[in-house]
Amino acid sequence: MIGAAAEAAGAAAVPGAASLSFSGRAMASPLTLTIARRSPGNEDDLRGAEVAWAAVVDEFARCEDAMSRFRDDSEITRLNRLAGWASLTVGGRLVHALVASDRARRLTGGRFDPRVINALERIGYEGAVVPLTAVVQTDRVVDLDRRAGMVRLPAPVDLGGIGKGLALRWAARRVEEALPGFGFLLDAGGDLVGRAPAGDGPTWRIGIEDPRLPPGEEGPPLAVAELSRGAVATSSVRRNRWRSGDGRDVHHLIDPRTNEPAPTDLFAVTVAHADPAWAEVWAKALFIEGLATIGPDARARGLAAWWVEADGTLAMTPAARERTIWSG
Amino acid sequence: MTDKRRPVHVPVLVGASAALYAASLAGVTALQSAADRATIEARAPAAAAVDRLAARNEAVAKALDGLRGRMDATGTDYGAAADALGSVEVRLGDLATTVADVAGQVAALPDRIALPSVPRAPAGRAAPSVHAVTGASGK
Repeated sequence: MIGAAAEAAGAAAVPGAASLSFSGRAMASPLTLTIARRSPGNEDDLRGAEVAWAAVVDEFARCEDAMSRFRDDSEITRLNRLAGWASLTVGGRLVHALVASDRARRLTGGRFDPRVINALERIGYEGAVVPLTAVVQTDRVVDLDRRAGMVRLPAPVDLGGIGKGLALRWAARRVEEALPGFGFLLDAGGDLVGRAPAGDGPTWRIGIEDPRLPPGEEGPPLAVAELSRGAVATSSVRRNRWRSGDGRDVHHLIDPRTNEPAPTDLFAVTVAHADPAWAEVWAKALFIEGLATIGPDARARGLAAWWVEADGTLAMTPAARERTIWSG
Repeated sequence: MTDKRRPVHVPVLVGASAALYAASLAGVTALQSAADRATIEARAPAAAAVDRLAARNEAVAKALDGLRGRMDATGTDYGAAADALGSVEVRLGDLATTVADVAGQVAALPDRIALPSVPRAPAGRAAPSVHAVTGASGK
Protein backbone atom coordinates (compact mmCIF):
# COMPACT_ATOMS: atom_id res chain seq x y z
CA MET A 1 0.00 0.00 0.00
CA ILE A 2 1.60 3.23 -1.12
CA GLY A 3 0.15 6.62 -0.40
CA ALA A 4 0.48 9.61 -2.63
CA ALA A 5 0.01 13.11 -1.34
CA ALA A 6 -1.54 15.75 -3.52
CA GLU A 7 -3.15 19.11 -3.17
CA ALA A 8 -6.79 18.41 -3.78
CA ALA A 9 -8.44 20.21 -6.64
CA GLY A 10 -11.67 18.26 -6.69
CA ALA A 11 -15.08 19.44 -7.70
CA ALA A 12 -16.12 20.18 -4.14
CA ALA A 13 -14.72 22.96 -2.04
CA VAL A 14 -13.02 21.24 0.86
CA PRO A 15 -13.79 22.59 4.32
CA GLY A 16 -10.91 24.77 5.40
CA ALA A 17 -8.50 26.82 3.37
CA ALA A 18 -7.41 23.98 1.08
CA SER A 19 -6.83 20.30 1.32
CA LEU A 20 -4.20 17.65 1.23
CA SER A 21 -5.10 14.25 -0.13
CA PHE A 22 -3.37 10.91 0.25
CA SER A 23 -4.46 7.72 -1.43
CA GLY A 24 -3.57 4.05 -1.46
CA ARG A 25 -5.27 0.69 -1.10
CA ALA A 26 -6.18 -1.38 1.93
CA MET A 27 -8.58 -4.21 2.70
CA ALA A 28 -9.24 -4.71 -1.03
CA SER A 29 -10.53 -1.13 -1.32
CA PRO A 30 -9.15 2.27 -2.25
CA LEU A 31 -8.12 4.24 0.80
CA THR A 32 -8.13 8.04 0.75
CA LEU A 33 -7.35 10.55 3.45
CA THR A 34 -8.33 14.16 2.82
CA ILE A 35 -7.18 16.78 5.28
CA ALA A 36 -8.49 20.31 5.42
CA ARG A 37 -5.51 22.60 5.83
CA ARG A 38 -5.76 25.52 8.14
CA SER A 39 -3.64 27.76 5.94
CA PRO A 40 -2.31 27.04 2.44
CA GLY A 41 1.41 26.53 2.25
CA ASN A 42 1.84 25.86 5.95
CA GLU A 43 4.69 23.36 6.14
CA ASP A 44 3.69 22.23 9.63
CA ASP A 45 0.33 21.22 8.23
CA LEU A 46 2.05 19.18 5.53
CA ARG A 47 4.34 17.41 7.97
CA GLY A 48 1.43 16.66 10.30
CA ALA A 49 -0.61 15.35 7.40
CA GLU A 50 2.18 13.01 6.38
CA VAL A 51 2.39 11.69 9.92
CA ALA A 52 -1.38 11.19 9.95
CA TRP A 53 -1.35 9.33 6.63
CA ALA A 54 1.49 7.09 7.82
CA ALA A 55 -0.59 6.30 10.90
CA VAL A 56 -3.60 5.45 8.73
CA VAL A 57 -1.53 3.14 6.52
CA ASP A 58 -0.03 1.49 9.58
CA GLU A 59 -3.40 1.03 11.25
CA PHE A 60 -4.99 -0.58 8.20
CA ALA A 61 -1.98 -2.86 7.76
CA ARG A 62 -2.25 -3.99 11.37
CA CYS A 63 -6.00 -4.52 11.03
CA GLU A 64 -5.48 -6.56 7.88
CA ASP A 65 -2.87 -8.67 9.67
CA ALA A 66 -5.40 -9.31 12.41
CA MET A 67 -8.74 -9.56 10.64
CA SER A 68 -8.44 -10.44 6.94
CA ARG A 69 -9.92 -13.82 6.16
CA PHE A 70 -8.44 -13.57 2.67
CA ARG A 71 -4.89 -13.76 3.97
CA ASP A 72 -3.39 -17.11 4.77
CA ASP A 73 -1.21 -15.73 7.56
CA SER A 74 -3.65 -13.43 9.34
CA GLU A 75 -4.58 -14.00 12.95
CA ILE A 76 -8.22 -14.62 12.10
CA THR A 77 -7.33 -17.26 9.52
CA ARG A 78 -5.20 -19.12 12.07
CA LEU A 79 -7.97 -18.81 14.64
CA ASN A 80 -10.66 -19.89 12.16
CA ARG A 81 -8.68 -23.04 11.42
CA LEU A 82 -8.82 -23.92 15.12
CA ALA A 83 -12.52 -23.09 15.44
CA GLY A 84 -14.48 -25.51 17.53
CA TRP A 85 -11.60 -27.31 19.13
CA ALA A 86 -8.61 -25.19 20.20
CA SER A 87 -7.66 -21.81 21.64
CA LEU A 88 -5.05 -19.33 20.53
CA THR A 89 -3.42 -16.22 21.89
CA VAL A 90 -4.20 -13.28 19.58
CA GLY A 91 -3.66 -9.53 19.59
CA GLY A 92 -5.86 -6.86 21.08
CA ARG A 93 -7.34 -5.72 17.77
CA LEU A 94 -8.74 -9.13 16.98
CA VAL A 95 -10.03 -9.66 20.50
CA HIS A 96 -11.74 -6.28 20.32
CA ALA A 97 -13.25 -7.11 16.93
CA LEU A 98 -14.58 -10.46 18.10
CA VAL A 99 -16.12 -8.98 21.24
CA ALA A 100 -17.65 -6.15 19.20
CA SER A 101 -19.07 -8.70 16.75
CA ASP A 102 -20.62 -10.66 19.58
CA ARG A 103 -22.24 -7.49 20.91
CA ALA A 104 -23.43 -6.52 17.45
CA ARG A 105 -25.03 -9.95 17.02
CA ARG A 106 -26.95 -9.47 20.26
CA LEU A 107 -28.02 -5.88 19.56
CA THR A 108 -29.23 -6.64 16.05
CA GLY A 109 -31.18 -9.70 17.12
CA GLY A 110 -28.92 -11.96 15.07
CA ARG A 111 -29.27 -10.05 11.81
CA PHE A 112 -25.59 -9.27 12.07
CA ASP A 113 -23.51 -12.36 12.75
CA PRO A 114 -19.95 -12.94 11.54
CA ARG A 115 -20.38 -16.74 11.59
CA VAL A 116 -21.47 -16.87 7.97
CA ILE A 117 -18.16 -17.95 6.51
CA ASN A 118 -19.46 -21.41 5.61
CA ALA A 119 -22.32 -19.85 3.65
CA LEU A 120 -19.94 -17.46 1.89
CA GLU A 121 -17.60 -20.29 0.94
CA ARG A 122 -20.52 -22.40 -0.25
CA ILE A 123 -21.69 -19.74 -2.71
CA GLY A 124 -18.18 -19.09 -3.94
CA TYR A 125 -16.98 -16.06 -1.95
CA GLU A 126 -13.81 -17.79 -0.93
CA GLY A 127 -11.03 -16.64 1.35
CA ALA A 128 -8.11 -18.48 2.88
CA VAL A 129 -8.80 -22.18 3.25
CA VAL A 130 -10.69 -22.92 6.43
CA PRO A 131 -12.19 -26.32 7.20
CA LEU A 132 -15.97 -26.31 7.11
CA THR A 133 -17.52 -26.80 10.53
CA ALA A 134 -20.67 -28.38 11.83
CA VAL A 135 -23.72 -26.34 12.77
CA VAL A 136 -22.95 -23.80 15.49
CA GLN A 137 -24.17 -25.02 18.85
CA THR A 138 -23.73 -21.83 20.86
CA ASP A 139 -24.96 -18.25 20.70
CA ARG A 140 -21.55 -16.87 21.47
CA VAL A 141 -19.31 -15.62 18.69
CA VAL A 142 -16.20 -16.01 20.83
CA ASP A 143 -15.08 -17.71 24.01
CA LEU A 144 -12.54 -15.64 25.93
CA ASP A 145 -10.23 -16.90 28.64
CA ARG A 146 -8.99 -13.52 29.81
CA ARG A 147 -6.89 -15.00 32.61
CA ALA A 148 -4.93 -17.14 30.19
CA GLY A 149 -5.16 -14.57 27.38
CA MET A 150 -6.61 -17.21 25.05
CA VAL A 151 -9.40 -16.99 22.48
CA ARG A 152 -11.49 -19.78 21.05
CA LEU A 153 -14.07 -19.59 18.29
CA PRO A 154 -17.06 -21.92 18.38
CA ALA A 155 -17.29 -21.42 14.60
CA PRO A 156 -15.15 -19.60 12.01
CA VAL A 157 -16.00 -15.94 11.42
CA ASP A 158 -15.80 -13.33 8.67
CA LEU A 159 -14.99 -9.89 10.09
CA GLY A 160 -15.12 -8.11 6.73
CA GLY A 161 -17.55 -5.26 7.33
CA ILE A 162 -17.07 -4.67 11.02
CA GLY A 163 -13.33 -5.16 10.57
CA LYS A 164 -13.16 -2.30 8.10
CA GLY A 165 -15.32 -0.18 10.40
CA LEU A 166 -13.00 -0.81 13.31
CA ALA A 167 -9.98 -0.02 11.15
CA LEU A 168 -11.61 3.29 10.26
CA ARG A 169 -12.38 3.97 13.93
CA TRP A 170 -8.82 3.36 15.06
CA ALA A 171 -7.25 5.11 12.08
CA ALA A 172 -9.44 8.18 12.62
CA ARG A 173 -8.36 8.27 16.24
CA ARG A 174 -4.72 8.29 15.16
CA VAL A 175 -5.39 11.05 12.64
CA GLU A 176 -6.95 13.15 15.40
CA GLU A 177 -3.91 12.53 17.57
CA ALA A 178 -1.56 13.58 14.76
CA LEU A 179 -3.63 16.58 13.67
CA PRO A 180 -5.67 17.83 16.60
CA GLY A 181 -8.36 20.25 15.54
CA PHE A 182 -7.99 19.58 11.82
CA GLY A 183 -10.86 18.56 9.61
CA PHE A 184 -10.32 15.28 7.80
CA LEU A 185 -12.19 12.68 5.78
CA LEU A 186 -11.03 9.08 5.58
CA ASP A 187 -12.60 7.01 2.83
CA ALA A 188 -12.13 3.25 2.68
CA GLY A 189 -13.93 2.17 -0.47
CA GLY A 190 -17.11 4.09 0.24
CA ASP A 191 -17.13 3.65 4.00
CA LEU A 192 -16.23 6.97 5.55
CA VAL A 193 -15.28 8.62 8.78
CA GLY A 194 -14.55 12.28 9.16
CA ARG A 195 -14.62 15.44 11.14
CA ALA A 196 -15.28 18.92 9.93
CA PRO A 197 -12.77 21.60 10.90
CA ALA A 198 -13.35 23.20 14.28
CA GLY A 199 -15.78 26.10 14.32
CA ASP A 200 -18.91 26.78 12.32
CA GLY A 201 -17.31 26.23 8.94
CA PRO A 202 -18.60 24.04 6.15
CA THR A 203 -19.02 20.31 6.61
CA TRP A 204 -18.11 17.38 4.39
CA ARG A 205 -20.63 16.59 1.67
CA ILE A 206 -21.15 12.89 1.08
CA GLY A 207 -22.87 11.55 -2.01
CA ILE A 208 -25.00 8.44 -1.72
CA GLU A 209 -24.20 6.22 -4.68
CA ASP A 210 -26.89 5.11 -7.08
CA PRO A 211 -26.70 1.32 -6.65
CA ARG A 212 -28.53 0.68 -9.91
CA LEU A 213 -25.52 1.80 -11.93
CA PRO A 214 -23.47 -1.09 -13.30
CA PRO A 215 -20.19 -1.70 -11.46
CA GLY A 216 -17.48 0.57 -12.75
CA GLU A 217 -19.88 3.17 -14.09
CA GLU A 218 -19.94 6.56 -12.41
CA GLY A 219 -23.07 8.65 -12.15
CA PRO A 220 -24.69 11.38 -10.11
CA PRO A 221 -25.52 10.48 -6.52
CA LEU A 222 -29.06 9.76 -5.42
CA ALA A 223 -28.68 12.16 -2.52
CA VAL A 224 -26.11 14.30 -0.78
CA ALA A 225 -25.75 14.39 2.99
CA GLU A 226 -23.68 16.50 5.33
CA LEU A 227 -21.14 14.95 7.67
CA SER A 228 -19.73 17.15 10.41
CA ARG A 229 -18.42 14.42 12.68
CA GLY A 230 -18.94 10.69 12.52
CA ALA A 231 -19.16 7.96 9.94
CA VAL A 232 -21.16 6.77 6.98
CA ALA A 233 -21.28 3.21 5.68
CA THR A 234 -23.23 1.47 2.97
CA SER A 235 -24.26 -2.13 2.44
CA SER A 236 -25.02 -2.69 -1.20
CA VAL A 237 -25.32 -5.48 -3.73
CA ARG A 238 -24.13 -3.29 -6.58
CA ARG A 239 -20.82 -5.12 -6.45
CA ASN A 240 -19.98 -8.56 -5.15
CA ARG A 241 -22.79 -10.24 -7.11
CA TRP A 242 -22.14 -13.38 -9.09
CA ARG A 243 -23.67 -16.65 -10.22
CA SER A 244 -23.05 -19.47 -7.79
CA GLY A 245 -22.06 -23.01 -8.70
CA ASP A 246 -25.68 -24.13 -8.63
CA GLY A 247 -26.69 -21.37 -11.08
CA ARG A 248 -28.26 -18.91 -8.62
CA ASP A 249 -27.67 -15.16 -8.65
CA VAL A 250 -26.08 -14.54 -5.28
CA HIS A 251 -24.36 -11.76 -3.35
CA HIS A 252 -22.15 -11.42 -0.32
CA LEU A 253 -24.72 -10.13 2.22
CA ILE A 254 -25.69 -13.32 4.03
CA ASP A 255 -28.73 -13.49 6.30
CA PRO A 256 -27.37 -15.36 9.34
CA ARG A 257 -30.84 -16.65 10.16
CA THR A 258 -31.09 -18.58 6.90
CA ASN A 259 -27.41 -18.83 5.92
CA GLU A 260 -28.40 -17.68 2.44
CA PRO A 261 -27.93 -14.36 0.63
CA ALA A 262 -30.52 -11.93 1.97
CA PRO A 263 -33.53 -11.46 -0.30
CA THR A 264 -32.76 -8.48 -2.52
CA ASP A 265 -35.84 -6.30 -2.15
CA LEU A 266 -33.35 -3.53 -1.36
CA PHE A 267 -30.47 -2.34 -3.51
CA ALA A 268 -28.51 -0.60 -0.79
CA VAL A 269 -28.70 0.75 2.75
CA THR A 270 -26.60 3.66 4.00
CA VAL A 271 -26.29 4.54 7.68
CA ALA A 272 -24.71 7.56 9.32
CA HIS A 273 -23.51 6.88 12.84
CA ALA A 274 -21.08 8.36 15.32
CA ASP A 275 -18.89 5.30 14.97
CA PRO A 276 -17.79 3.66 11.68
CA ALA A 277 -17.99 0.11 13.02
CA TRP A 278 -21.56 0.58 14.14
CA ALA A 279 -22.43 2.32 10.88
CA GLU A 280 -21.26 -0.88 9.15
CA VAL A 281 -23.18 -3.12 11.53
CA TRP A 282 -26.46 -1.25 11.17
CA ALA A 283 -26.17 -0.85 7.42
CA LYS A 284 -25.80 -4.59 7.06
CA ALA A 285 -28.45 -5.45 9.67
CA LEU A 286 -30.99 -3.09 8.08
CA PHE A 287 -30.25 -4.47 4.63
CA ILE A 288 -30.93 -7.97 5.91
CA GLU A 289 -34.06 -6.72 7.66
CA GLY A 290 -35.53 -6.05 4.23
CA LEU A 291 -37.99 -3.58 2.83
CA ALA A 292 -40.99 -4.66 4.92
CA THR A 293 -39.63 -3.47 8.28
CA ILE A 294 -36.54 -1.39 7.60
CA GLY A 295 -38.39 1.91 8.01
CA PRO A 296 -40.05 1.27 11.37
CA ASP A 297 -36.98 -0.45 12.75
CA ALA A 298 -34.56 2.29 11.70
CA ARG A 299 -36.89 5.01 12.96
CA ALA A 300 -37.44 3.22 16.27
CA ARG A 301 -33.68 3.06 16.79
CA GLY A 302 -33.22 6.71 15.85
CA LEU A 303 -30.83 5.80 13.06
CA ALA A 304 -29.99 8.10 10.18
CA ALA A 305 -30.56 5.62 7.36
CA TRP A 306 -31.14 5.90 3.62
CA TRP A 307 -32.23 2.92 1.54
CA VAL A 308 -32.82 2.30 -2.12
CA GLU A 309 -35.72 0.04 -2.95
CA ALA A 310 -35.84 -2.41 -5.82
CA ASP A 311 -37.65 0.12 -8.03
CA GLY A 312 -34.96 2.72 -7.38
CA THR A 313 -36.95 4.75 -4.86
CA LEU A 314 -34.79 6.43 -2.25
CA ALA A 315 -36.31 6.49 1.24
CA MET A 316 -34.86 7.79 4.47
CA THR A 317 -35.55 8.17 8.16
CA PRO A 318 -36.27 11.54 9.79
CA ALA A 319 -32.74 11.59 11.21
CA ALA A 320 -31.36 11.05 7.72
CA ARG A 321 -33.61 13.75 6.29
CA GLU A 322 -32.06 16.25 8.72
CA ARG A 323 -28.65 15.53 7.23
CA THR A 324 -29.74 15.43 3.61
CA ILE A 325 -29.01 18.61 1.71
CA TRP A 326 -30.04 17.35 -1.72
CA SER A 327 -31.87 14.40 -3.25
CA GLY A 328 -32.62 13.84 -6.87
CA MET B 1 -78.29 11.26 174.82
CA THR B 2 -79.18 9.31 171.94
CA ASP B 3 -76.48 8.57 169.35
CA LYS B 4 -77.98 8.34 165.96
CA ARG B 5 -75.95 5.77 163.97
CA ARG B 6 -75.75 5.67 160.22
CA PRO B 7 -76.01 2.30 158.43
CA VAL B 8 -72.67 1.30 156.86
CA HIS B 9 -73.85 -1.51 154.70
CA VAL B 10 -75.23 0.77 152.06
CA PRO B 11 -72.02 2.42 151.01
CA VAL B 12 -70.29 -0.88 151.36
CA LEU B 13 -72.75 -2.47 149.03
CA VAL B 14 -72.51 0.46 146.65
CA GLY B 15 -68.77 0.23 146.75
CA ALA B 16 -68.74 -3.47 146.33
CA SER B 17 -71.17 -3.21 143.50
CA ALA B 18 -69.11 -0.57 141.84
CA ALA B 19 -66.00 -2.61 142.30
CA LEU B 20 -67.66 -5.64 140.87
CA TYR B 21 -68.88 -3.60 137.97
CA ALA B 22 -65.45 -2.20 137.37
CA ALA B 23 -63.87 -5.59 137.56
CA SER B 24 -66.44 -6.95 135.14
CA LEU B 25 -65.93 -4.04 132.84
CA ALA B 26 -62.21 -4.53 132.97
CA GLY B 27 -62.62 -8.22 132.23
CA VAL B 28 -64.98 -7.58 129.39
CA THR B 29 -62.67 -4.94 128.01
CA ALA B 30 -59.72 -7.27 128.22
CA LEU B 31 -61.66 -10.00 126.49
CA GLN B 32 -62.84 -7.58 123.88
CA SER B 33 -59.32 -6.33 123.32
CA ALA B 34 -57.93 -9.81 122.96
CA ALA B 35 -60.68 -10.70 120.53
CA ASP B 36 -60.04 -7.54 118.52
CA ARG B 37 -56.31 -8.24 118.46
CA ALA B 38 -56.92 -11.76 117.21
CA THR B 39 -59.29 -10.51 114.59
CA ILE B 40 -56.82 -7.89 113.44
CA GLU B 41 -54.05 -10.45 113.28
CA ALA B 42 -56.27 -12.83 111.31
CA ARG B 43 -57.28 -10.14 108.87
CA ALA B 44 -53.77 -8.70 108.32
CA PRO B 45 -52.81 -10.92 105.28
CA ALA B 46 -56.11 -10.17 103.58
CA ALA B 47 -55.63 -6.46 104.21
CA ALA B 48 -52.15 -6.61 102.71
CA ALA B 49 -53.50 -8.43 99.66
CA VAL B 50 -56.19 -5.82 99.32
CA ASP B 51 -53.55 -3.10 99.50
CA ARG B 52 -51.51 -4.80 96.78
CA LEU B 53 -54.56 -5.21 94.59
CA ALA B 54 -55.38 -1.57 95.09
CA ALA B 55 -51.88 -0.58 94.06
CA ARG B 56 -52.02 -2.76 90.94
CA ASN B 57 -55.42 -1.46 90.09
CA GLU B 58 -54.08 2.03 90.31
CA ALA B 59 -51.18 1.13 87.98
CA VAL B 60 -53.57 -0.48 85.50
CA ALA B 61 -55.72 2.59 85.62
CA LYS B 62 -52.73 4.77 84.86
CA ALA B 63 -51.70 2.53 81.95
CA LEU B 64 -55.22 2.66 80.62
CA ASP B 65 -55.09 6.43 80.79
CA GLY B 66 -51.84 6.39 78.79
CA LEU B 67 -53.27 4.01 76.20
CA ARG B 68 -56.33 6.14 75.89
CA GLY B 69 -54.12 9.14 75.17
CA ARG B 70 -52.20 7.26 72.51
CA MET B 71 -55.39 5.96 70.98
CA ASP B 72 -56.68 9.51 70.79
CA ALA B 73 -53.46 10.61 69.04
CA THR B 74 -53.64 7.65 66.65
CA GLY B 75 -57.23 8.48 65.90
CA THR B 76 -56.19 12.03 65.06
CA ASP B 77 -53.41 10.82 62.78
CA TYR B 78 -55.75 8.36 61.06
CA GLY B 79 -58.19 11.14 60.48
CA ALA B 80 -55.47 13.26 58.85
CA ALA B 81 -54.35 10.32 56.69
CA ALA B 82 -57.91 9.65 55.67
CA ASP B 83 -58.24 13.27 54.63
CA ALA B 84 -55.03 13.04 52.57
CA LEU B 85 -56.21 9.80 50.97
CA GLY B 86 -59.45 11.44 50.12
CA SER B 87 -57.53 14.25 48.42
CA VAL B 88 -55.41 11.73 46.50
CA GLU B 89 -58.52 9.88 45.43
CA VAL B 90 -59.98 13.08 44.13
CA ARG B 91 -56.83 13.83 42.15
CA LEU B 92 -56.72 10.26 40.83
CA GLY B 93 -60.27 10.72 39.70
CA ASP B 94 -59.29 13.92 37.89
CA LEU B 95 -56.32 12.12 36.31
CA ALA B 96 -58.51 9.24 35.19
CA THR B 97 -60.82 11.73 33.59
CA THR B 98 -57.90 13.41 31.81
CA VAL B 99 -56.54 10.05 30.63
CA ALA B 100 -59.94 9.08 29.34
CA ASP B 101 -60.16 12.39 27.47
CA VAL B 102 -56.72 11.88 25.93
CA ALA B 103 -57.51 8.28 25.03
CA GLY B 104 -60.68 9.43 23.39
CA GLN B 105 -58.87 12.10 21.43
CA VAL B 106 -56.15 9.65 20.39
CA ALA B 107 -58.77 7.19 19.22
CA ALA B 108 -60.33 9.94 17.20
CA LEU B 109 -57.06 10.67 15.36
CA PRO B 110 -56.79 9.29 11.85
CA ASP B 111 -54.47 6.32 11.28
CA ARG B 112 -52.85 7.99 8.33
CA ILE B 113 -52.45 11.60 7.29
CA ALA B 114 -52.13 12.40 3.68
CA LEU B 115 -49.38 14.96 3.37
CA PRO B 116 -48.99 17.05 0.28
CA SER B 117 -46.20 15.88 -1.93
CA VAL B 118 -43.07 17.93 -1.59
CA PRO B 119 -40.49 18.08 -4.34
CA ARG B 120 -37.25 16.69 -3.01
CA ALA B 121 -35.19 19.08 -5.06
CA PRO B 122 -36.01 22.07 -7.17
CA ALA B 123 -36.64 21.02 -10.72
CA GLY B 124 -33.54 21.11 -12.81
CA ARG B 125 -31.22 21.58 -9.87
CA ALA B 126 -28.14 19.42 -10.26
CA ALA B 127 -26.53 17.52 -7.43
CA PRO B 128 -24.03 19.63 -5.52
CA SER B 129 -20.41 18.64 -5.72
CA VAL B 130 -19.37 16.18 -3.06
CA HIS B 131 -16.19 15.32 -1.18
CA ALA B 132 -16.73 11.57 -1.23
CA VAL B 133 -19.29 8.98 -2.21
CA THR B 134 -20.55 6.18 -0.02
CA GLY B 135 -21.53 3.00 -1.76
CA ALA B 136 -20.67 -0.59 -2.41
CA SER B 137 -17.26 -1.62 -1.15
CA GLY B 138 -14.56 -3.31 -3.16
CA LYS B 139 -13.97 -0.89 -6.00
